[in-house]
Amino acid sequence: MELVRKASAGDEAAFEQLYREHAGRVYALCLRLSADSVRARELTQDVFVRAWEKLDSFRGESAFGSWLHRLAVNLALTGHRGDARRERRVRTTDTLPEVAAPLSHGGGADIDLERAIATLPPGARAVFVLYDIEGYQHDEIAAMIGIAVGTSKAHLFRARRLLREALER
Amino acid sequence: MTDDRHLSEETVNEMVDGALPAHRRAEAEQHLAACERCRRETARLRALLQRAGALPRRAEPPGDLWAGIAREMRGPRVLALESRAGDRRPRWAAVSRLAAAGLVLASLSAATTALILRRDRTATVAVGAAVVPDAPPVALAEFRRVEAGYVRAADELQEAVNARRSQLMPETVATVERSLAVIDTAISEARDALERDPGNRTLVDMLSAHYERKVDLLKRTTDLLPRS
Repeated sequence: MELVRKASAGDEAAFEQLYREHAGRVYALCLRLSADSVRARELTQDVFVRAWEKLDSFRGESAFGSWLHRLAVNLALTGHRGDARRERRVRTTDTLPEVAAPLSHGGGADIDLERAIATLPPGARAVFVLYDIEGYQHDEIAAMIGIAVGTSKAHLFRARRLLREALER
Repeated sequence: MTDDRHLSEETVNEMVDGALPAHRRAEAEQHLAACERCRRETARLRALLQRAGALPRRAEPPGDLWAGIAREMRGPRVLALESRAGDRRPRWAAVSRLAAAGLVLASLSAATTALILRRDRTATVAVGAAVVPDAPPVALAEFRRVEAGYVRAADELQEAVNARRSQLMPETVATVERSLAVIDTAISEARDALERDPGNRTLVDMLSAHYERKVDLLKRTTDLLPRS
């Protein structure tokens, strides 16, 4: 909290330290949600820039990491900074059946599962990542994404079915 | 909760998630005791969730994104060659990182074919890690070396795609060509703008990102080719 307090007061070095502590979690989340390594880097940068701008609004009711994660989810799923050119790129390249496999370069990584997650439809992928990997509840996911709880469950069950089919092929 | 003979997908999922009310759980467990297929389905789902739960929750971003973040924190647009207060890193270090980026790109270009055959997906990451988010302040003249690396990498990948394009679905080829046209237009526009404003760091970032997207798209396309 001391770092957060200093950063809120404009201490850039303190904020850099917060970045060093949290960048790995934020990047992993952005990469899985976007299934696009270029976009994930942009999002990670956006998350921290936005966090810097909004530090005043961080009241400390939750952990800084949780606050940052919600910010990341919001940015990743609401098309922040989208422009027409990028949208055209995403629409066209996402129609390719194979997309970049996130997080597949670490030792012991479950590459098959990562790749299968990356190929899920965006809604199903988002809910699977948030529920089964990040541990959010359906009501939290529904509130973050702006969908009904029932829709969140439907996305999750579909994602799990598609993943099992992909992995057992 | 069940169809004629088996548990529904929803019931199996909610049971595994511990979200079934007690009376429905007891009913489901009773069914499982007697139904091998539903037991198997449940076991498959649990196995998937175990794998998902074991995935790493952290992944360090390729390259250091901090410099780009710090730049945006200080303002939306920073001219490239200005000396900026608060930038802790000396300029020579930044320039040497750019040179290293050029070397990475050159190596990538030379090794592109081998990487494709091995389906090594770290190559594109290396491009981005080296250049885009954390590129130092550069002028157009300095960026040209890096640009040459991007162009070489893209050309080699393009050649690999062209040589075997008949092995791709026509719809895929059309999709890729449309995407490439969009990216090439973006490259051309950013390139023209940078020629007019050669010290503009934002334009260098933008142009790097467009090139990286081109290489990434071509790399993904080669991944679609059947193994030879």
